[in-house]
Amino acid sequence: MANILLTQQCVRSCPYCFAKQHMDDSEAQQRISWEDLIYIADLFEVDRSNHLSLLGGEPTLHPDYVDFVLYLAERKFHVTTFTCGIMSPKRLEEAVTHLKQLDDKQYNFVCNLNHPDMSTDKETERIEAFMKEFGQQTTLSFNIFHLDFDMQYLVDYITKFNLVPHIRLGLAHPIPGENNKIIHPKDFDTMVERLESFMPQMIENNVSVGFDCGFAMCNFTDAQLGKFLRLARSGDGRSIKFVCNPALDIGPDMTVWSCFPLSRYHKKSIYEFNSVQEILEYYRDFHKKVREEQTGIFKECADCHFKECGLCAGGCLAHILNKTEVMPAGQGGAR
Amino acid sequence: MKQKPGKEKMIVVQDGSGLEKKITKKTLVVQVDTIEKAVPAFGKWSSENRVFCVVVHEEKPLAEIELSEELKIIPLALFLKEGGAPKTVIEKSREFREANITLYLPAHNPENFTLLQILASLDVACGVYLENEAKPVNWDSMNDLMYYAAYSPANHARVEPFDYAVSNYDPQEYLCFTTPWFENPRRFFYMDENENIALSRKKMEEGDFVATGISSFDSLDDNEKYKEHLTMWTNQFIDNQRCASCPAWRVCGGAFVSICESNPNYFQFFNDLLEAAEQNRVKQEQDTEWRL
Repeated sequence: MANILLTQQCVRSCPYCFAKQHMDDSEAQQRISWEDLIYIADLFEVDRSNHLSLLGGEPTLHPDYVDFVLYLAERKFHVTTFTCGIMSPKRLEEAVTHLKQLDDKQYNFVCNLNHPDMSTDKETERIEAFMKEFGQQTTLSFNIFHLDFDMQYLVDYITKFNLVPHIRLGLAHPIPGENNKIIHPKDFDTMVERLESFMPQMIENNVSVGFDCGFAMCNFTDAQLGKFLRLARSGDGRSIKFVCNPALDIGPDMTVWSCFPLSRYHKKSIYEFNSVQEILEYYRDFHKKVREEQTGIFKECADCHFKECGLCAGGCLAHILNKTEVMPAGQGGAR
Repeated sequence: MKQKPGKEKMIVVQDGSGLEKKITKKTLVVQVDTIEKAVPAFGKWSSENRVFCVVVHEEKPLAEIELSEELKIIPLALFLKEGGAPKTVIEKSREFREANITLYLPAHNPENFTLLQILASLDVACGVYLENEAKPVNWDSMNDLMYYAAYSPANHARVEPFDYAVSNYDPQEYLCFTTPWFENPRRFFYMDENENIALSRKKMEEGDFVATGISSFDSLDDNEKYKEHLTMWTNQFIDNQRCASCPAWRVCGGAFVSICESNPNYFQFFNDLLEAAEQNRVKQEQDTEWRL
């Protein structure tokens, strides 16, 4: 699986945006071409991968967005679109007319939903118009970037628009050298406690959660772990993970990198590789080399049994590269 | 140059020419001007002959083509003027895939190269054609499409005329690059309603015939005018024309000399096509050795 950036333009300007560095370094007007999309699809088809994600910026801004989804679905890829849900009425109508002809299993949306206070009325109106049409195909994504976050509105949206009863939880990652809003590792315990406080609403509404990369296992008590595991498995049976792997982002200029926060590191042309496996090996090797220097975001990661046996990656690599202060246990570090 | 065995000679006829009652036991290519006429034409002409293919010269864009179940079972070559919206073409690709069809789009429109790549990657057999030599062609785009057709490791349908050139290339034999367009003086013989025989569609339109009469078709190999035409290529070498020193002649055959002189990318395209054909030949030989 890889993330293809269809365009670098975005309709939002989120304070935590971890794509910021890449976007600042790139031409906003750049859009992926048909020829390049076909090249990527070929590369992944040869690798027998059957899942591709479309990202941006805001991927639905690409004039050929709907055509791309139809095309990839016709090639038997499952297509996930990462969107903020803000589409022009014309684009939404186009998506409704054509994407609803597809089998539900061929595509889905992950909608990154900020708190309503961060959106204008018009933006909220458009998000809701999108959810009204594609609610059953949409999973909410929530990026935690401050400690007094609210999740109730997510549960409300899920209920109101009959969305997939699952929330993908992301941590706002640091961009090494930049000052985007993030949760500092010393605050991870507090963040987990806040997260836990929303569990009753989620259980009541049968909403499960899944962790995106960057969470560290040791920030959860055994009791919290048990609760989150039960909540995760009550959904589609998935388990919770504490991973940090190369995600493979591919830009419209056909450069590839490990993930957005690491877009400054080892960005390569996709044409330098002969296969998806070669790309993955290259970035796994990069991850491995960094982690040989510093195992994880906490001091304790070096001797962690769970890290050793692969249950936890030791937090986000961007934190390590950002030269995050390594904290001892009991001071906001590992429990 | 020798000709590969098994390359059957065919008469290319226009539906409505009235020849269907006169021609029997021949292999035919039947031309029609709209897709709606393809099924009736196939039925009519195949009662006394074998119809190799129905060629449709269609004015409608590809996106507007509807394929009935009857159309899907007859061999079709659809020469179109334009493609239309990619979205619609993608949505119809399953229909095209199910049919025994090759879709051709003209080379002068750059958007067609993209659409052809989309079609091929969706496993729909397709091709590019030169609608009119006077219309400029982006030979770089042609080359990109050829590279995709010849080298992409992913599963895709054939893209003509590249697939034909690459898979039929033999350094010891004459290769007619235009064969997938039903233009090959060794295989396709255009016959009008007066039974005049020409060696291409253009020559028929210009009234440049090599023989007349259905009976003369079987004795064409003894026809002096025809034999002279087949050896015309030697003049390029006798007169030491540009083609005489061109390595790409093996795949181009001097088919478009006028374009070649005015566009250096044309030469590059055929040079790269030759390289693709050579690589394929070597690979085929290696595969054969390995099997032995």
